[in-house]
Amino acid sequence: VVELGILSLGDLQRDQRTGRRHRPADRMAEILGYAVLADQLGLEVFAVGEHHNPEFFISSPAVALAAVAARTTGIRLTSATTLLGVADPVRVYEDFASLDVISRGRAEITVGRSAFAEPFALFGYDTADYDALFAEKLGLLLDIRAAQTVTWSGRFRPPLDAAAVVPRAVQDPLPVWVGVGGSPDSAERAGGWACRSCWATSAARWHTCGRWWTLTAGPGTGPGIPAPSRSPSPPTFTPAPTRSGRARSIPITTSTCVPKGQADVASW
Amino acid sequence: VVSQAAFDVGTSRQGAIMIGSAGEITGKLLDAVKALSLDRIFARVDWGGLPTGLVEESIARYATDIAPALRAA
Repeated sequence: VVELGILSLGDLQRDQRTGRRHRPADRMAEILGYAVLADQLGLEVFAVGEHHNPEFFISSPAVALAAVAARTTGIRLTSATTLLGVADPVRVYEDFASLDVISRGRAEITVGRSAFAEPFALFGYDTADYDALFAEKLGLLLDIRAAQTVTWSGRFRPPLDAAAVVPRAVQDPLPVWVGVGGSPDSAERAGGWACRSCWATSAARWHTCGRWWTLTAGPGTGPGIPAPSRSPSPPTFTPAPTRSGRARSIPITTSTCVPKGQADVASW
Repeated sequence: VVSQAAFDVGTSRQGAIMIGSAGEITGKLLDAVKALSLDRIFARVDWGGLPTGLVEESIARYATDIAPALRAA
């Protein structure tokens, strides 16, 4: 059975009459109200985005979702997406495990690479490492999810030597989805992870999503739409060997659709 | 900003912009669920400064008028 949810990116529009931007406190109250309504009406999942520019106010999805957790009882709570490439996976796990404890097992994480460049400068990373950051950090996040005590080393954060990462989530495993959007490349990369994928409708028509889906899952596993022919691009990402758990979801926008087409810029 | 061309594509039967009657939107979403084997849908209900009351009405129609047919599919 398909699960139905709603998503807010926490965008701050300008008031049509005054020209002033909506205030974060007012938007948060609105969004809390939408989540409570969705929970009361039996929708299954509620998501907020993460952005780091003045057009949006939610830069910390786990904090916003904790407020939602306190006012709801059944709806699942997820980011869409957590910008994992510029974050510390230890902190990401701690935050969402805390959310899982607060909500008694309703938290999920959807991780993405970021569709914007500014988080990289803000947190001291180089966009040239866009793919390498994501690959390394998703690997670490999945290690932390698998075991409380982690020994790890990599390029982008200090090593961990039998480090305890707590609290542990109520759910085992804590659901982790990979956000996809923007390009066939990002769809293809998502297929390498043993995670479900969550797609943004940057594709204007389902047919395009279906073609990308074939890239994610491999030939013969998608909805029967042939993958698009693609010009060769330099290999920047080596998929993990597992290809399990490929269920997927798509956020639907009710008021906007920005087709990024075949641009090579970004996933979510 | 959404161009007229993107808006036209988005509001077409295979597009991602969900503007229409509950019946029309149910049909579009059923198409998507079937075509893409979806197991979850997110509706971005408050994008673009849609006034709060209209967002709430959208959520209510989605949860009460559209959801049953999708769950039964």
